[in-house]
Order: sequence, then C-alpha cells, then structure tokens
Amino acid sequence: MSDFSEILTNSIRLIFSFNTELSDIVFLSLKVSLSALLISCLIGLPIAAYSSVKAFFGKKFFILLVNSLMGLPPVFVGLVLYIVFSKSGPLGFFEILYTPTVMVLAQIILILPIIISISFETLESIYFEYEEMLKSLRVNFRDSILIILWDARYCLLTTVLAGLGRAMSEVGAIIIVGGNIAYYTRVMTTTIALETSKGNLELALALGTILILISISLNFIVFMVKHFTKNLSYD
Amino acid sequence: MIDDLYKPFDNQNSNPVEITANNISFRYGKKVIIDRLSFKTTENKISFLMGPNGAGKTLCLKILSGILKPDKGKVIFNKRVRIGYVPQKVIFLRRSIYENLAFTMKVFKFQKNEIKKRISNIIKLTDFENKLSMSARKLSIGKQQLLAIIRSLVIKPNLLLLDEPCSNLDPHYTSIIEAIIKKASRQGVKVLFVTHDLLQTKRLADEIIFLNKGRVADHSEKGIFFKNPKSKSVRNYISGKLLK
Repeated sequence: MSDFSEILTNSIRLIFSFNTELSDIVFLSLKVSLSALLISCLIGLPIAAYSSVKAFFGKKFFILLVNSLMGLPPVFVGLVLYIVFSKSGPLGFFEILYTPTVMVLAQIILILPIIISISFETLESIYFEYEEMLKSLRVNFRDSILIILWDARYCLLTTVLAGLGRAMSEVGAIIIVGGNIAYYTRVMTTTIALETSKGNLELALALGTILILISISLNFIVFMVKHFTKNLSYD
Repeated sequence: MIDDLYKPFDNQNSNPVEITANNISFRYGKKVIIDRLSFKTTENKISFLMGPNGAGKTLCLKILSGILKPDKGKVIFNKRVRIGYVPQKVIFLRRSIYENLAFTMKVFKFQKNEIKKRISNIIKLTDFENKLSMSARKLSIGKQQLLAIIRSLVIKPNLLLLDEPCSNLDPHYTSIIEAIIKKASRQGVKVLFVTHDLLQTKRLADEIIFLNKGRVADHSEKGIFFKNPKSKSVRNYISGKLLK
C-alpha cells in the first residue's frame, strides 16, 4: 500500500515538474492524434454527407462495410502498414516507417470508419427530414450536402470526440509502425506500455493521469459547447 | 402596401398559372396509386383537390411540385412557375424563424437587403414578429402551419400548392390562413389546395377536382359540386358514405 502511495505521489510530482521528456511525449501524442482527426474529418464528413444524400448502387453494403471497419483490430492495422511501408514492402520507397507520418496514417485508418459511420447516421436522419423540402425548392445536390452538414454541426461534435478518443487511446498500431523511438515517435500510450513493462510505474501513471485529464477536458469542452449552443442548434 | 406582399414574382405578366396534368400514372411497387390522371385547372381560381383517404391527392401534389416524377404522363404549366409548396407535415430547418425564411429566399436568389426588408414586412401577417430569432421548430403546430404558409409566400410564388394547411388548426389560425390564401389569389397567385374539409371548401374554393382511386371522378364549379354533383362518388363523399 505504501508502495502504491509512493508511486502515486511521485507520479503527481512528475506531472507538476513540467519535465521536458513528459511534455514532449504529450505534445507528440496530441499532434499525431489531432492531425489524424483533422484529416479523417476532412475525408469522412464529406463521404458521410454524400452517402446520406445520394442513393447509389451498393450503398447499404458500403455502410455495412464501414460499420464493420469500426471494430478493426489496431494490431492488424499496424501489421499491414508495417508490411506495406517496410523497406521490402510495396510502398517502402516512401521511407515513412518509424515516423510520426505513418502513425498519423495508422490512426486515420482506425478513426475514419468511426467518423463516417456515426456522422452518416446523424446526417441521414437530418436529410430524411429535409428531403421533401429541399426537393420542393429544387436545391441542388451540393447545396443539400452543405445544408445538412451545417445544420448537424453541433451533433457532429460528439462524432469528432469519439474519433479523438479512439485516436488518443490507441496503442497497438502505432507501437508497431512508430517503433516507440524516444523523442521521435514515443507517445503517451506507447510510453505507458513500455514503462510499465520496465517497472517505471511513476512515469506510466503520470502519463495515464494526463491521458485521462485530456479525455475529461475534451468531454467537458464538448459538453459546454453543446450546452451553450443548445439554442443555436434550434433542434 | 401590405397587399404587395402577395404579388407573384411575374406580376407584370398578368395571366395566371394554368396546370395541366396529362395522363399521369404513378405506382409504388406493383400498386397503382395514380392511374392516368388528367385535368386542367381554370385560370385565376382557387382549385381544390378533394377525395377520400388514399385517393392520391398528396401524391398528385408532390408530382405537381416536382418532388416526385410520374411513371407516365406529364405536368404542363402555361408559363414559368415559381412554386410555394406547403406539405401536410411541415418541416423546418434546424434554424431560427428568420433563417428559415431567409434560406428559402436565398434559394431563389433574392438580394440580402431585399430578404431583410421582405421578411420584416411579411412577418407582420403573423403574431411572431418579435420572435424571429426563435427556433421555428419550437413553435406550436398552428404557428408552424402559419409560418409554412408565410415561407411559401416569401419567395413571391405564382403557384401555391397547399396540402391540408389547416388540418388540426383552431378557427383563429384557420381564418388567418384562409384570408392570406384569398388575398394571394386576388393578387394573381394560382392556388391548388388539398383538403377533406367540406365547409372550408365551401368558403374558399372556386372549382373542385375530385379524385377517387387515383383518377379524376369529378371536376366542377363549387356550386355544381355541392348542389348537383355529376358523379355518384361525390354524392356519397358529401353525404359521408365510405367510397368503395
């Protein structure tokens, strides 16, 4: 018990020491996850909006596929990317293995299905409501997409948060493709895994605490945004 | 001045819209809902589309508004139409009353200052003049129906297609909506109105197109329709008998 309280005290002390190694790890984690989230939203939201408005051949199969990909095992994604981007792999010439770039790519693959699937449900229900009105006004396809995206903007915050949660907590894929190189590809989750195995529980617990604090803070921000924009969303 | 609010966008071109439905058919799967439907509305009159449940009235209105395409036949207008459509189930964007009206006007390329001016004028027809920033979806059903009429008028339509716009409304809102429709019609807006309400038909209609089983069973002036209906199905409908 005294060991636990000692570890806890040391880890709290570590957090408030503003240690450079710790802050570098946190900064890189945020950079990788937020980059992956931004790119996934830029790709995923238009795809979800297009799928909501347009009836196309194989739409149901596409949605089924995307929903299935939400449960993609991160380790498998890491393994595939490792094979593809390793020196002898088909895309090895890019030389991005063990770089933050491939870590972002791995996270995009993992969170893109979440962004598409959850936002599709939101956008489809809004389009279902608006369809008759938009058709009666002869609003074109592009404008219909922009309208539902705009009117769903506050609901989509939850989707974005779900994607970020997945990205921030991910470890399996990025440890394989990033290699957990100190000061270069070492992020919070991979450091926690490494330091725990080494018995350095203070650093692991400090990073775990920061990870949870970030998660709670993001949830709080989204909650506040939704609360204060409740009247603006006009739902 | 307030009567200007009802004038259609093409009011300099005084001949009103004439709707010709030419042999229209529509089916859902194998079920024929509208079967070789043909009619031509009379100029400058309020036309009512009546008939029992499932006769195809709403579907007919959706085809005329362009929301649905008929399987066969076509709809012909004698001139370019700008349609103000009020559906049975009113839908608003998840936006304020003002933004809902402004959005509709933006679709028809109204200028920014004209949007502001017209909305501030047309909203005087209602009692929510000071509630423009309120969510349109939070209005009572009656006020939503009224707002839907205003939204259809704000674009200066020359054709109003109204699908039971007074259903579930109290006499106060019904009279407001009826007055708006009468004024719009007087200013040259063609009105096609779907209803089950015989009393409202007596108050507003000039001519009645009676649908039964997806076809026109009767098309006559209001006086003839009520006093001396040609069709047996109209006689049964008026007397409250179930149509087979």
